[in-house]
Amino acid sequence: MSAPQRIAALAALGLLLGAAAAPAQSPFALTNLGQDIRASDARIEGRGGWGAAESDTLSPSFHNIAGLPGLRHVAIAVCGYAALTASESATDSRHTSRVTTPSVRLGLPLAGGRAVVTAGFRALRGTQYTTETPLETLLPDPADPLGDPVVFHGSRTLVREGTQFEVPLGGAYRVNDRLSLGATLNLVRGVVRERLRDDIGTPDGTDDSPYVAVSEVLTDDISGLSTTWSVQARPWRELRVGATVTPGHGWDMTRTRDMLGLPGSRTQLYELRLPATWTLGAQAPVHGRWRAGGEFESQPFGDFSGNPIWETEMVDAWRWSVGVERAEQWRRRGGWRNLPVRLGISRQRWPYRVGGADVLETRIAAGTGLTFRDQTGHLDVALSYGWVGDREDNGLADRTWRLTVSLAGLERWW
Amino acid sequence: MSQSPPRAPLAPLAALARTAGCVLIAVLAGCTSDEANPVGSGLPGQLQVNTPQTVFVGTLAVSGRVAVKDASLSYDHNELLYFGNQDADASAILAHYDVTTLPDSLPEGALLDETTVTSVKLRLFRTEAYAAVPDSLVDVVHPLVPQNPQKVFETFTLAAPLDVALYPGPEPATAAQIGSQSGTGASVFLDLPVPQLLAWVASGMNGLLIREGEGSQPGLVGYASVDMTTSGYQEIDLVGAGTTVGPVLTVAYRNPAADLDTAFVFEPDADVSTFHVLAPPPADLAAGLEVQTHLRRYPYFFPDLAGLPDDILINRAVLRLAIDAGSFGPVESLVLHEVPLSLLAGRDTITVQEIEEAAVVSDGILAVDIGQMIYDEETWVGFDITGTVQRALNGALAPDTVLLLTAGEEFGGYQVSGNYSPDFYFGRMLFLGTAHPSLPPHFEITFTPFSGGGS
Repeated sequence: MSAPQRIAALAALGLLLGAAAAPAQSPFALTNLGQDIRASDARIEGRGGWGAAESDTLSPSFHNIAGLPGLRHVAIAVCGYAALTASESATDSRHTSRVTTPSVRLGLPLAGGRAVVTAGFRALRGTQYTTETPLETLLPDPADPLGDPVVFHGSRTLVREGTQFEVPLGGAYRVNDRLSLGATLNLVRGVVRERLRDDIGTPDGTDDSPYVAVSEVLTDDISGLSTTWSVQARPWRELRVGATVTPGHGWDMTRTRDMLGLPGSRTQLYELRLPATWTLGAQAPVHGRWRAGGEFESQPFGDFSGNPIWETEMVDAWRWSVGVERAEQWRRRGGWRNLPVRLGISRQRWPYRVGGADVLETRIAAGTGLTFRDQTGHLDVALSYGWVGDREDNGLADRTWRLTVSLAGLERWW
Repeated sequence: MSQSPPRAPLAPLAALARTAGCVLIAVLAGCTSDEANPVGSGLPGQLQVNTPQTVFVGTLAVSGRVAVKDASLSYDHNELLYFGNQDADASAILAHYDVTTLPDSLPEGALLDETTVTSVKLRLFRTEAYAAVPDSLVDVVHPLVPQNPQKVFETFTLAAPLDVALYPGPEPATAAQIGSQSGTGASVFLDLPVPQLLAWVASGMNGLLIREGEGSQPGLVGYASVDMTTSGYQEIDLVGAGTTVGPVLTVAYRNPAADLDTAFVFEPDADVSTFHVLAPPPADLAAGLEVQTHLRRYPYFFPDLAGLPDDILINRAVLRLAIDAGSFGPVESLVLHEVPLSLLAGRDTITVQEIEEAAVVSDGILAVDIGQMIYDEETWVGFDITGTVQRALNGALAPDTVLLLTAGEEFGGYQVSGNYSPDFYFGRMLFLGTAHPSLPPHFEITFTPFSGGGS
């Protein structure tokens, strides 16, 4: 990678990291496990999200690490996305923006690329949203404290924030020309924090300071360990299939309740049992530079346990995606025709109901990408538009623009 | 599994894409969300905050009162001269003159007799606190602080030498009445008959008593003492700097040889208020709370918080005191201090320095015009003691802490003026006691139970 390319990559990475504290995402993330914010890379996002059968040594994908064998260089990939969301309820609407915590993945080829060791960081689910609602409370009248109480007006602010992430450490091995296997051990950490604050103003409204202020914080610290097993095969001609499975596992939860102004806190330990996640995908050339693929992911959250409030709303989550991609070419004077083109669509059911109804999300995506000079890396972008929820069924609906950017650098470091 | 080796990549397009990507990310990162609103509210969360509740605590765990005195400071230090009566308080003015120094003010060889002393006037200087309201508005705006009442001044010579150490106390025995005159306004000039005054001078005891006579309008009025000539004259109504104040004698002297009339101001060497009648403090806090200034008496107390539940956040704690219409006095601040009970228990008096060293201000009210409040039919004064009660429940307050209610002492940060402190003006703020059937003092405590409590 040349110096300007390194600078560009670092600048993009800095922007992603620096903007990670952006304020809000979907209101659907206000409850339960939060929103799925996994981002494999922009190449996969641009074609709808399928990549379980992906294997590309120039633009390596960590979606299924069984596709990594064959790497010639050390690969470092960074991916994140920014989203603009327009949400509406029956009475109000709100525009929000958020840049997610980027994922970082490393692939280190061994044995001439036949084996690859990988490590990294990836956000799983996130929640970042604030609501503010009017509040009325009866309190003694300062002018007549022993008389009938009077209505004091104020506001209730709920902030829910936190990210669940994993640090995968694993490897992949090419058994033969048609079969590769992979496995990762995933260290899961994270936090979900809810802060509720009631501010009740002075009765005459002449004082800026609240007359009564109450604030409590509930924090769930997450600690868990999971494994992911992967396989990729080429059973017939150029048809490639892949699968991953993350068996059901437990998260150790430490719940802490704090009340502002009260010394000490209350701590409770419990365990969440998460169901297995499995993914199946396939891809095949269809015509010329074009190929098509699809993927199905399932996580039967009906088997979730450990949080009675969440359990009652849990449903089996699934996601399917299909799309096509025109591969990049490097024909002299090819111009824009050399660029890769990706199109895709996905539909998924969130793992929990909102308003008593399933939350369904549909997303269409398009993307492209570029190879760095001397094939030292790849920059991919994807733009997608999604519909989340239904105002009639869920009481809420989102319309979301999402820009995903990923950078993959290939380097020979020794 | 790798793709075929690429040819030369498209460098200009790559640069363009990199730039576009960075710009897009920057734009999106810079997008700000709308302010939070109700969108999303109502979704089930893990956290619920309990509703605030209010209890009224009227029971006191400890109560008492203490006088503020400093043995090193005499009673007539930093004083006014109080004249008249207000409810159950009454005071006269005592003054002593060292007439052996009088000739020093006269021409050499002058004689004091009925031919050379043509008149003698006793002058009293009223202080601002009793003249701040125009006479036309006295009864409308400020009915409780006597403003410019009509008084009858009776002047007596003393039967024995004046001893200021005996006061406050009963009026001394008098020898003879040498004047009776009504007066009002910023300055009162009392004509004294020359023969009797010369006899008084000759007697050598040289003490005068100015007592309120029958026909006076009620009200304690503060007049300047001689000490205020050098400090505090700005508290005196309609007097310029440098004026000799106090109960001064103005002697008109005629020099026959020079055919010249001259007036000499002769100041006392001691003056004091008798406060020969002083209302006793309320018997206990059931009868009332009293904050008395000048002759300072302050109440102390602390609520019984044992009945409050565990694991609560004190949102607001307010001490409310209902004003007793018997209150009077000039504008003063009221301050609640946290003080160790060990400093006060078993003691009748305490020095202000001891309070200063031990006290932490809990809350105060600047410039309480209690007369105006009564006129406006305001019932309550309130002190926000949220921090004190929070610390008491959280174990961060020393367990023997009590609340001492004082006027705005110099160290408390609630001084009305830099010119005087609560030992200067006499006033009495009275609040209804715990036995009052409908308006007892109470602690209004609003709290929220911790949602995680009880585990």
